This record gives sequence, C-alpha cells and structure tokens, in this order.
Amino acid sequence: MIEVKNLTKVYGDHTAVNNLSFTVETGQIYGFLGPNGAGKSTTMNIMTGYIAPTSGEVYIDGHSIFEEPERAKKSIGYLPELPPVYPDMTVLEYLRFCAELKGIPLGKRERAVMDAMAATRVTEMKNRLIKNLSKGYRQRVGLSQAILGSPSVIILDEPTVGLDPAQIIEIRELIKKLAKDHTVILSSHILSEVSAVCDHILIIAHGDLVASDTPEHLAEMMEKSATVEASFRADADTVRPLIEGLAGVQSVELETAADGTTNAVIRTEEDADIREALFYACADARVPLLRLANRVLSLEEMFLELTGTGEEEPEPEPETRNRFGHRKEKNKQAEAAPEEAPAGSGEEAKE
Amino acid sequence: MIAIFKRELRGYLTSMIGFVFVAVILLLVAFYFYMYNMYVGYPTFSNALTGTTFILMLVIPLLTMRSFAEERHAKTDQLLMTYPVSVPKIVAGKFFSMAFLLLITCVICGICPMIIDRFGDVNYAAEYGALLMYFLMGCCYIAMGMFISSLTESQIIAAVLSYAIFIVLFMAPSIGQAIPNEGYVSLIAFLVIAVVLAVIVYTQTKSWLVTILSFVVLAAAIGIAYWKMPLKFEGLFGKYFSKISFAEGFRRASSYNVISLTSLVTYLSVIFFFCFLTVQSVQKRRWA
Repeated sequence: MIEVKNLTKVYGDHTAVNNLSFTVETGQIYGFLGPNGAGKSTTMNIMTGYIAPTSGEVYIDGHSIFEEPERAKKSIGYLPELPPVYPDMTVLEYLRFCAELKGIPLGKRERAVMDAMAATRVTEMKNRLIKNLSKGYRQRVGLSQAILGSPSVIILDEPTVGLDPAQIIEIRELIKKLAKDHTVILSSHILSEVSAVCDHILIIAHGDLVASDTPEHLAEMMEKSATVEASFRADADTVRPLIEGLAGVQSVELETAADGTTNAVIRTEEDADIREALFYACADARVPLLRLANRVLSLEEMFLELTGTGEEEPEPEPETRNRFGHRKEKNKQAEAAPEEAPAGSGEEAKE
Repeated sequence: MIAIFKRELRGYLTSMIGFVFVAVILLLVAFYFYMYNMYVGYPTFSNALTGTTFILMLVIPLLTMRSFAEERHAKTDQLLMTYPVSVPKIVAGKFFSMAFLLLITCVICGICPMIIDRFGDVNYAAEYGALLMYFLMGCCYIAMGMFISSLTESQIIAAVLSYAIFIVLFMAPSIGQAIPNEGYVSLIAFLVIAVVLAVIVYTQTKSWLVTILSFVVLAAAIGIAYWKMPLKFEGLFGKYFSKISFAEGFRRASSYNVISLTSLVTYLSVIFFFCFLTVQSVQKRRWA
C-alpha cells in the first residue's frame, strides 16, 4: 500500500508537483496520466526516494521513504523513464548485481533472476551485453530489474515506451498478472494504454491532480462532449443562420473548403444534443448535410478542459522553449512569419 | 556495498581503464626502478618510488572521473538511489574498488625490494612502509577525484578539474616557498579564501543573507587576528600552503624512513573527509 500526502516539489519558481495526495491499495493498478512535463516522473522519483520533495510525505507499506529509506525501498521495484542499465554488463550479470544490491539472500538469488528474466522474456538474451540490445529489450531488462525479488510495490514510468505492439500487449498482460499480489503504479501519456490495464486513473497536469477516477467514469466523461462537428454542401453564409437559430448553441466556427463544403465546429451548452434539430433545420432549408458527429475529446483536449488552460499550449521543456523562441525570432526577422506559426508550418503556409 | 564494489571492479577491468591504470603506473615504476636501483645502484626502492609520485596525479583522474559523473550521465544513479542501499555504502563501494586497483599495483611493486635483496641489504620495514604511504597518498587522490566526479555530470569536466587541483597540490611546496613573506600578503590570501568560501556557501544555500553573514564573520575574524598580531601573519600563508600537498607523509617515509602517526592520521582523515563530502554531494542532489 502506498500513501502520498501533500506532496509538493518546487524547482526555483517552477512548481513541478503541487500538493498531491492519494492512496493506492494493495492489488490494484493505478495509472498516472498526464502530458509531458506534467510532473508524473517527478512524483514517481519522489515516491521511490530518488529525489526529495519540498514538502509532503510518502509511506510505502507504512514505512516513510524519508525516515526509513532502506526499509521502504526494499518494498519497491522501480523502472524509471530511462531504463537504468549498465551498458558494459551482460543481462545476466546486471540482474545478478541488482539482486545482490536488493539484498536477496544468496540461495534465492539465482531463482529470482531466472524468474524475472522469464517473466519479461529476456532469457534468450541473457549473455548479451546490454549495450548491444535494442531499445525494446533494454526496456524489458529494466522491467525485469524492477520486478526482481517480487517487491510489494512496483512503480513503472512509461513501461511500454519503445516496445512494438506485440510486446506492449505482452507487457500489459504481465502487469495485470503482477497486480494480483502487488501494488502497481504506472505512468503514461497514452489514455488507451492506461484504460486498458488500470483500475484507477490519476490525471496530472502542471503538477496538479485534476482527476482521479476509474477508467469507466473517465470514458463517460469524454463521451459527454459538448462539441458537434458537421459538414454541409453550402457556403458559410447559408449555414450560419441555420445553426445559430438552434436552441443551446453557444458558438460556431465555420470554414469553407475549396470544393464548396463548409465544416462547422459547434459548441453547445452541456447536456444539449442539437444533432436532431440540426438535421431537421438543414432538411427544411434544403441544405445538404454531409456529416454530423459528436466530437470525441482527444486526450489533449480533455486536459485543456480539465486544467482550464484554454488555448494555451502545453508548456514545452525549458531547453526546447529557448531554442524554439530563438528560432521563432529569427524567422520573424527574416520573413515576417506570423507569430503563432512554428518554423515548419510557416514555410508551408507561404507555398 | 560488496555488490557495488564487485560491479565497479568488473567495470574497470572490462573497459580497459583498470588495466591501463595499473600498467601505466607499473611501467613508470619499473623504469625508475631500473634507472635508480639497477643502473645507478641506489640500494633503496623508495627513492625510485619518489620519482613516480607525479604519475599518480596523472592517472588517478582517469579512474575517478567516471565514478559518479558517468552514473549521473547515464541515469543509472536512479537505480542505486532507489535500491535499499544507503549513500555511504555506495560511496564506500566505489572508493574501495578504485583503491583496490591501486592496491594491486602497490602489491606488484612490492616485488622490487625483494629483487634488491639479492644484491645487497634491504631495510624491508622502511621500504614497505614507504610503499604503504605511497598507497595511502594515492587513496587521498582517489577520494578527492571521486568527490570532484560527484559534483558534475561530465567526465571531462571532472577530469580537467581534478588535474587542475592535483597540479596545484603537487606544486604546492614550490609555490608556497615563492609566496612573499610580508604579512599583508597572507592577509589578502586569507581574505580571498574567505570570498571563495562565501561563494561556495552561496552555491549551496542560495541565500544572500547567509552568504554575506558568513563572509563578514570570517573577514572580521581574519581582520581582528591581523590587527592583534600582525607579526604572526608573516610568511603564514606560504607556510600552510606548502603543507597542503599530500606528498608530505610519503616524503617523510621515503626520505627519512619515518612513518609518523601524524602522517597516517592525516592521510586517513583526508580520505574520510572527501568520502564524506562525496556522500554529502550525492545526498544534496536529491534536494536540489
């Protein structure tokens, strides 16, 4: 069992994790979901004792990770973002080293290493140097290091990154199997992945916990969208009064394509389903309706909705921001590109 | 700790660095042994050993530069720090693996006095005592290099910084003699040290108040001391500066056949001090 209480991590004036609290019960799979830079990895790094929080507490099976680190760390298996493998060791050497470092008694060590290799299917690679392994295999070696010795809490930071679809399914099965007698926390920025394996999802954005629910509830939330997309074979001037005349419409964005069709994105009040009314309105006005659909929110849009950041783009990492900002400025001077357009799309627009 | 010791040692021996380290030292020792003892005919091996102290300074950074910097660079420190092993044990494991390589080298060097024994009388206690001091002096360099490596993510920076500091240490006796004897020179030198300490305090605490406060306290202490007893300041800095070299204990053993408790304690405490600093530097990163 894991208890996280009021966890906060501040880097200079940037708050990476803001007052995060949650409890994970034994035998469950918890999923951390969030865009890049949301604070997932920071939270996991704090929970495993790699970095210290600015304030807050973490208990692993009742042991504080800060006050009894060795005791608490014994119950954790952790796979960080980058698998922490030594390239100059073979898989077998590496896992034996990990087993010894974890304090697995000598008699059980070999058994534990074999089990971990078998579970992650790296047995046939055991005598290869890790530096010669592919990304997917390194990831699996990292995973076998985490589950080595069967710790009661397993924390996986984006465990399926770099794996092919067949391997992803394999790893998911493995995680589900592990959850029977372990507590598993995994992070991802892919919703489908999290909803496929997790019993409970924690959504984090900008260091804040913005939602904590079962996948079923979150899926419901996503379908209850208040946005309708439609296409008409008519120009914007004909379509606009039709849509604006309907009850419950808040705003309309229209765009007429070259072939004469108009695409509309219609935002409505919540719980108002305008699709039927729109159909009849079009029929009455003899405007051909080509397409009509509730927009299913993409993960990014749901984040914007949940975090209320509106149009603002997700914050890129500082390093890229600098480079990007620099490039943008150069672009502006050279060809007076529009401010919002990134370097690449600016060129396309000119063509 | 033993797991880390074994892993590190294996790492040094599979990546050639370990072999190169041992081989370079042995090659130079062999050369000096041949020139001093075999060719010229000095009866003491410690004489030859004295000539090789500079090689420690040159090859030890090659060994120490990767110890923590590489770990951080490859993010494998995430493994060590999240495993049920404490930071002092990690530091000890790494330190002992490097010291072990030096120990192997010194044990092989131990053959030389036996060779001399075939041609004349050998004071074994003096020879092996000097070798022990040689080993401990090397360990001081290792502990210091390891600490420098823990400060950075880049092996190159770690190596360059180690070289810079080791060279100053190595030349400290000569530099110390060249420092003017006037009292105000010592005063200025101590004030400069106070500034450096204040800067270090700032980098660690990021608080101007603490920084300025610590500088004012230090500067005031130095100022009062200078005002009360200006005579004591004459040649003071030069005298202490020449002593910061690690070579003193070894020199006493090799030149005068003296192994004093002072030099033993000095070596052991330097080693302990830098291992301790390494632990602190690794721990501190978690709070950054």
